[in-house]
Amino acid sequence: MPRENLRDLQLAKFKRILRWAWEKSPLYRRLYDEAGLVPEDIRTWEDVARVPMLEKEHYRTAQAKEPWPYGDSLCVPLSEVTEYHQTSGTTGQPVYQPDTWRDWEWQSECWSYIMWAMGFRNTDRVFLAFGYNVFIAYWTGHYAGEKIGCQIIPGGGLNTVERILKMKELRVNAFMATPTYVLGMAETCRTKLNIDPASLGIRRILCAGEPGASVPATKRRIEEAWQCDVYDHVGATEIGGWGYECTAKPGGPHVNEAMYLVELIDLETGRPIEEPGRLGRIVITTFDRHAQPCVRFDAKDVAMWWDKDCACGRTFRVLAGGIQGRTDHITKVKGVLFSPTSAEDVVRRIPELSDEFELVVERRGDLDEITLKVELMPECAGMEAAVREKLARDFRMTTNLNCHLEFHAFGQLPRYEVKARRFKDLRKPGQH
Amino acid sequence: MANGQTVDATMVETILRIKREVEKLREMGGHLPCVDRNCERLLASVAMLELDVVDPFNLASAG
Repeated sequence: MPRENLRDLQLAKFKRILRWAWEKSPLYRRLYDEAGLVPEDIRTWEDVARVPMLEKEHYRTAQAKEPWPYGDSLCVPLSEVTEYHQTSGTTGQPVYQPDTWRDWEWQSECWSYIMWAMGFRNTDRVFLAFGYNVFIAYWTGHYAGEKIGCQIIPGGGLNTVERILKMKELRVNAFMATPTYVLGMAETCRTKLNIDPASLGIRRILCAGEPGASVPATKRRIEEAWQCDVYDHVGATEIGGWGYECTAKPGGPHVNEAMYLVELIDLETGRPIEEPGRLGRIVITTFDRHAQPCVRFDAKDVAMWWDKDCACGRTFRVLAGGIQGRTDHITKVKGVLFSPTSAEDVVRRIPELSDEFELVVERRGDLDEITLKVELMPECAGMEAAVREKLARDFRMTTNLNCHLEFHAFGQLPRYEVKARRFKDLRKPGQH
Repeated sequence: MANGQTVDATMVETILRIKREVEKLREMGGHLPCVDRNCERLLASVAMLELDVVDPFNLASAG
């Protein structure tokens, strides 16, 4: 669809879901009443920026009310809710996410866009390496895979070794997992099973849950380990799966602009960003999710638009380099803006280091100090001095900051399956 | 549509007719749980066809 038509469609859909939220949800009605806004006020694109943004905390407050557990953010009778999921709780009390069956069908549809663009077809046997539980994770990948016609192998309830052996036994050719876990699986293949992960015949991996597959060095590590194509997905529980890499691999995810409005907002001025190359806060509206709508939701992620058309032919815009970081992680250290994602790229560009690392920022006296904890690969045990010098230099070149380096024995840093917590800011409020 | 394939009025009308027919079936047999639950699922699938096909077509026609 030509972009001008797409923009018209988006505006029409934005107005439709705004009206739905305003009519059905006391949470949204309060928010808009406070801003003196009614749906009729929104006529043009300029008007969209007048709609107040929603934050996770709004959901939390609303969900403390009846009907339990969704409170007055719920827009449908409780009897119409068929799906329950919740956020991970990384940033506080988990948000409960209700969906009707139609919402769930919509979620599968969004993920069908994602998987189709990544090349998944009905000839694929796809393993889902995640624990099926209250977290939404790959549930929608499961249903979308079915919808596309893939054979879906549910890998919940198995440990990592069992999952790898099941993948080998069934000759699966694709799988889904967090980038952290995909790297951990490769490590388990080599260290516990004496299997080269590349020998398993995987053709494509769908990564979600963390931005790693858009971090160039992490993506390269995964591709080299498994010798296959690796694609990044972008989404969140409250929002759905809204971004995906296509097989043309433009270097970032397309935004599914048929199902979502994604706005980039200047971090300081709050003005919309339309031009490429400028980092902005991501604000998202889901057009067709009804039980608990998501209208101008502050995703707390930052990204920038790409300046080219994608070779795949899609007219959906691309976010250059994917998600660049979290607004609540981007912080000032020694007066310099610092994004932990940049450290991930530095560490994983150095082949002598393992996939794991940890980053700690703390206040020592009057000064901020960054400690970067890393592991040498077992076969590189005698190379610490050389690696230390390179790591310190690369970190400084990338971030404009110095850091204190700690080398740990291989396997000593924590391993994660979902939502790795590698960044710890131990400074007290007011010390940032 | 995202991949540039064409949609015509007959396709749109067919989708909307299916929707009407399923709604009619539900009205006729909704007291039977098997009819009700399967109509519910059918309508959710038809809603996706509306999003993917009917909405963009209607917008283009209006323009």
